[in-house]
Amino acid sequence: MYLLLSGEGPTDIGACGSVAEACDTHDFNAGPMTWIIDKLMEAFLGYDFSHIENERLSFVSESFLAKTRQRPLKKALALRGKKKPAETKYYYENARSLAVAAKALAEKIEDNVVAVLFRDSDGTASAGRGHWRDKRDSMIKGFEAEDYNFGVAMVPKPKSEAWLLCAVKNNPYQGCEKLENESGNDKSANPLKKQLAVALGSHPSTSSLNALVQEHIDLERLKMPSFELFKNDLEQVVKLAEGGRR
Amino acid sequence: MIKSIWIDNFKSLVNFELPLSKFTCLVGLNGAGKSTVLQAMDFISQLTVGNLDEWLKIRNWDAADINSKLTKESNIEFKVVLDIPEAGEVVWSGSVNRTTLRCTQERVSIGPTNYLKVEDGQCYLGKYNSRNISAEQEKSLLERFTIMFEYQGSILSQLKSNQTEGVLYSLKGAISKIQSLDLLSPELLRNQTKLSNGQLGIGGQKLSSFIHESGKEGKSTLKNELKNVYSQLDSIDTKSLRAGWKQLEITEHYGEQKLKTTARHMNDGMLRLMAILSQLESNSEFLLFDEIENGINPELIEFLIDHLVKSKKQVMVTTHSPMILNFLEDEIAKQGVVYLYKTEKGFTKAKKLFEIPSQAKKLEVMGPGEVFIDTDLTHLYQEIADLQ
Repeated sequence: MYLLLSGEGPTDIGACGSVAEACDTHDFNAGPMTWIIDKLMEAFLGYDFSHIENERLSFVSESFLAKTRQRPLKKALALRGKKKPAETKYYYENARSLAVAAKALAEKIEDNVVAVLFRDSDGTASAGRGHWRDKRDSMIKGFEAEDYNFGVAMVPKPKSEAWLLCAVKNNPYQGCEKLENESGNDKSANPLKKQLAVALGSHPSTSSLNALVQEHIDLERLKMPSFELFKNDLEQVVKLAEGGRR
Repeated sequence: MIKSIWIDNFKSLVNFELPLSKFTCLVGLNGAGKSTVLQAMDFISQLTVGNLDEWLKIRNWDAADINSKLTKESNIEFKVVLDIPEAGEVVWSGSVNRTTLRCTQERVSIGPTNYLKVEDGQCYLGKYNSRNISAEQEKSLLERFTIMFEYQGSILSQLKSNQTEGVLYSLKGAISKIQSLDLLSPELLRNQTKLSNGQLGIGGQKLSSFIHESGKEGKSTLKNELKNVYSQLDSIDTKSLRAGWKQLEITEHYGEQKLKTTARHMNDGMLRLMAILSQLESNSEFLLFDEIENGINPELIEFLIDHLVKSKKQVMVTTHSPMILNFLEDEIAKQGVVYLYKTEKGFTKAKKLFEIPSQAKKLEVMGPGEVFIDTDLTHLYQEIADLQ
């Protein structure tokens, strides 16, 4: 089994060390979300096997997905409506591009590729527009549109800092679902980024966040709806990829 | 080409600046101020023509309707920046008194060089560099006269043609040839009229005489354009009726059968398309259309948009239709799609839509219209506010 990841930046999934838009582990600096995926996969597979350390992982950036955007499936304009909520198409198109890249990679390495697409559901730029579930669902629809069964949507609500904060706040792991109602905007009154920095005692770097995931966070105890849904999806897909055909 | 327009104290436009491209498309929620922007541009154009009373009458407005109710200021200030070939970037600014409807202050300049100045009831004409000259010298160097007559709008509307050579002539030409068709209505397009004087009329009521005056060649060009989308169309004709009234009619064929239809019974879409295409061939330099998609079948939108984008004239449209936007090339959309929104105080503001980071990002994976329809516009102003 092999992993193909895409995220938004160094402090979530990670980034290529060079300016490249696609890289494998030689050039890839994994971020905390990748370490979460790695840890969960070991748990689901039932044995110690880090995809990061064993170089079973590739990464593509957001701009890579934009450049490899897929042709529309239908000729008609994709109109928003009852069946297509606002602020979702970007996620849908990103999922399609990632699915196509994952299929090509699977062909090349002759192995099953689990593709994980990470996006914050409410980043600074979206400033509260759109709903978390719609965004997640649109990614799943994007994987489906390309007929890809091994795609996983990783969409924290409102953003990755909320998941990490759950483990380090006062009363860790308690009442974390409330964090999902905070604003994802870094310019809001008490942004999650700042709350995380306060809880950790300093502005966190990628490596300190990685260490946090590797050594500190107990993913079993992290109970937040957006995290549990992701965890469940990943488990299903890993089991499918492990046992199923490509 | 007009590069930007700034206006202050015109309805909801308070300290409002609009960037303009060769093709500009205004989008925004209902009530954001799209039509007001068109009205403001028409107002600025009318300043170079004078006779603001008539302009107000056509729109059924009072002088009291034009200033903003959001501020206590009295005068309406404006600044227009335009590129005039062989002259450069010309700036025309002024201040309109709302009671007399006259520009009590006015200036036309290129960089530090002034070409026209009106202040304290005096008009100065001539080219001089205001940076290297004292106020006293300035007064002695220029052709100067005390304004002893009543007029409305800009002094440009009153100067004789030998007083407005070069830059002033080009400026007046460019601004007076802004043609706003913000009230285009199918009912008015069906009217019979006598004379158009090269103008379609604000609601399009002079279409029949406008087409009549374009002559045989004009009608044939228009017919050939329309035939691309209405294959059954054989000819566009105009008839002179009693007392000089002009009637517009078309001939179509269905199989062997020929069919004549007068404007009164023509379909809305064809009439609108006729009005728009005929304007692209008129002597206007800048055309404004409100809600360009009205009455136009989706199948015809690409045809229409391609014509507007490729036109030699500067064009601005407003739209609510994602289809209109989706037929724009990404580069045209980045330059020309302007999002209008209202601040919490009710002021209209403009921002190029694809300069907003989330919108630029989306444009990388979808069409401009899809970005527009996918975006929750009711909250977009928050992201714009965060940018500032």
